[in-house]
Amino acid sequence: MKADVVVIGGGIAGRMVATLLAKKGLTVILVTRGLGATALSSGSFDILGFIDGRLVRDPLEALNRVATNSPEHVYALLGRGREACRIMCKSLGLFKDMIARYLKIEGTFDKNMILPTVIGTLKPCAYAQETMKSGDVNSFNGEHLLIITLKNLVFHEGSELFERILVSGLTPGKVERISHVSIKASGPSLTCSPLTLAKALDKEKAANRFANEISKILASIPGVTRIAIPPVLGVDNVHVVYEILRENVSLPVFELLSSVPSVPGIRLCRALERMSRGAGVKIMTGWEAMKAHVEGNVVRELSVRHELSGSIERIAGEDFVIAYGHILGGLQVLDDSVYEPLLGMTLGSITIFTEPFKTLSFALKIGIKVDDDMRVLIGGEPIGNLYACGAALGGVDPAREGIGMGLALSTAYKVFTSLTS
Amino acid sequence: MYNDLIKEVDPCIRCGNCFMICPVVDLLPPSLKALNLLPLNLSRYIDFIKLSPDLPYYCTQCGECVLYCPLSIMTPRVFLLLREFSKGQALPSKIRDAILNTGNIYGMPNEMRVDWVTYAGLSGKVPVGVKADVAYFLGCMTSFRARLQKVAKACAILLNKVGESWTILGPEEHCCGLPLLFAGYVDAFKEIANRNVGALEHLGIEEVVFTCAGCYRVFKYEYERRGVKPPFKVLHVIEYIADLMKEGKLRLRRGKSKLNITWHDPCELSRYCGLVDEPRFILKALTDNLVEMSDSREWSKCCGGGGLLRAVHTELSSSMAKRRVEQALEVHADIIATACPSCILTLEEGAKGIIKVKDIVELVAEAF
Repeated sequence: MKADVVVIGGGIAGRMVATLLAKKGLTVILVTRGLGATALSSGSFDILGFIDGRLVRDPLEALNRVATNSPEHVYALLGRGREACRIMCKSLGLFKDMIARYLKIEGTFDKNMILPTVIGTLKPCAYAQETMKSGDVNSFNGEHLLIITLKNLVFHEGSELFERILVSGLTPGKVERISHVSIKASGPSLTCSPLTLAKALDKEKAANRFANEISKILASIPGVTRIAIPPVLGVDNVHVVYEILRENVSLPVFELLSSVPSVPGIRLCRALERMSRGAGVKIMTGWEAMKAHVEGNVVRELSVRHELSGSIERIAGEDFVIAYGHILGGLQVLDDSVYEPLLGMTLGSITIFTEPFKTLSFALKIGIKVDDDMRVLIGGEPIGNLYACGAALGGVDPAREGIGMGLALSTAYKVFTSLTS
Repeated sequence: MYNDLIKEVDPCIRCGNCFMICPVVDLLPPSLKALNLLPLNLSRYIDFIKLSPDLPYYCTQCGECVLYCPLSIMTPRVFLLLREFSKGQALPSKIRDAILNTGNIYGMPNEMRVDWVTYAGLSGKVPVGVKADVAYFLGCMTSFRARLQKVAKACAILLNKVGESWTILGPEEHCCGLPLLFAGYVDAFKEIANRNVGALEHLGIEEVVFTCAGCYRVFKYEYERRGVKPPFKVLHVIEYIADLMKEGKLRLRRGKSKLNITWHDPCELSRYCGLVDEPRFILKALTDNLVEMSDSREWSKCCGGGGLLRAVHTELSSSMAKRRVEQALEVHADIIATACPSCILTLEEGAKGIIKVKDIVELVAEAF
């Protein structure tokens, strides 16, 4: 097998770089084991949520500051100050357009939305799926919030609990009153998983029925101004489902952000799959990248193994991109150094965070170091044709900084520009 | 064995993806559902197997969970290991006895494996047990089930049409052994692997063609994994046809097919063997209206016919088939094409005549 570029990893970073390259006319093979961490995400898009535990209101301004003042931070790779902001905006804009056919995302660069989750926490993010946008707490003003939970839904059924947490999570004045109604989801089986219900709602008939049920509830509770629903509003057909709901219920309706397992995460992954396949990327699903074969200073081939059959193939390529994410990709710490499993060697010292980017976990602060062209560095020397992007990069703690999607998209775009310049 | 199990499930991070997408779990009553949160319940599960040995048969071995697992835990393998705990119980041992005593899963005399030739009106046109380049390995279901004998007939017509030097094994063909693996009998599996490979070697076969997805997967990967390496090329008929078309040796007519055809990816072919492009290449030659179901390619949904689920929990299997058929109806398909005997029988039952289910070889044979 042969391709111009071989991308390792089918998360958001891998799909982004693969799609961009394929649209440029290059042949691209994307190797992925299946759904990774992207499917576990809430399905919203954060650029920068927290600095040192403090909430960021304007992510673009904060990015400007971080990229200028903290050269060790991964965002400094995008360029200094305004240049970093330009790359971030460009990458998110491109992504939004490319995925629009399959999934609509909304938001702005310069103001974080604050979105409530099913467990009652609030998450800052710049962009979110259209179904989540009305949950932005910033736009709340003395609301009467109606929370609808689904009795027979496995995973999101702890209704009282999450009502209580939700109350405690919201700033006073934003929400005046909360009502809660628990209905039986008209899913295909007695107790159904969120994904089964979401798939059932994909059909217009079921979506209409669901919308009608909600309208009936609304008629019995006067004064409701906003409605929160568990994250189950469709998988492949979410735009239509949401339209139906909005037409029937003339109030702002929103999905709460999901914990795991996450329908919005899987929704995003399916949209990514269709986006990259639509652009002509050859996708090898169910294959694990095993070993990069290096000659001199360049990677010649990649050995991949089919997980269920155990068969092994070699893929030759001009360039290779690591986008396998963080711990799930197999990065480890060995002798105080980052061990990279494809090359089978340590890459050099671990990135140590400087203030104000303290981090919780030792395992989370390791990552790959790259040069200005995003090429992987071994002990300070770059490998000629091996690039890295996304959460595999060092200098960031994606979960704690609320940075995952922005990091993935912007660094993927940067790899794309390096590869095509 | 318990340690093997622990090793398999140990990396689990309890995200719940497998539980959420499993087509079997989704149809289970709540009590059984909770039990299927495996890593949380492993020891309890094993205790329960003693009471209810068909418990680990709530799995079709479809492998979809492996794709959804962030850590790629081989849950199907976990279920196979669990099935070893119910070895010796009624159902699994019945399957083993049938296969070892008669050579097929139905416990029928193995000589009857050639009877389909007469039924199909192909007497004298199907070589049995002769030296040849290509062998057509039918598998138990295709040999014995009336519906599937039509597939065998289509394949025979295809092989004769392209003038191949070919043969079937007839009475010398034995069950590929996959049901033994599914029922937890690894040793018996090895024995049967040797028998089949020996019989094919004896006839100097260079290529073996399969219409059964399960037999194909077993010959291609499982024999070698268990120390029996086949010295011949293993091809599923969709690979065989695609190759012929690419070499220009087979031209298909774009027959009556104004019909919408959808391809149901059998798990054994798509997820287990990665054969997703070949069938679409063939179908595009047959029709302009190839439609895709919402879950397709490697992400295909199981029909419910795999992993002995159908043998043990028949109703559940039918409900799964119904769901898959619904997906086909959603995209307005007139024909579900597939290439697995188990999928054909299960889907036909789920379809209840609303939609046609056809093997791709049948469609190809119609288009000469």
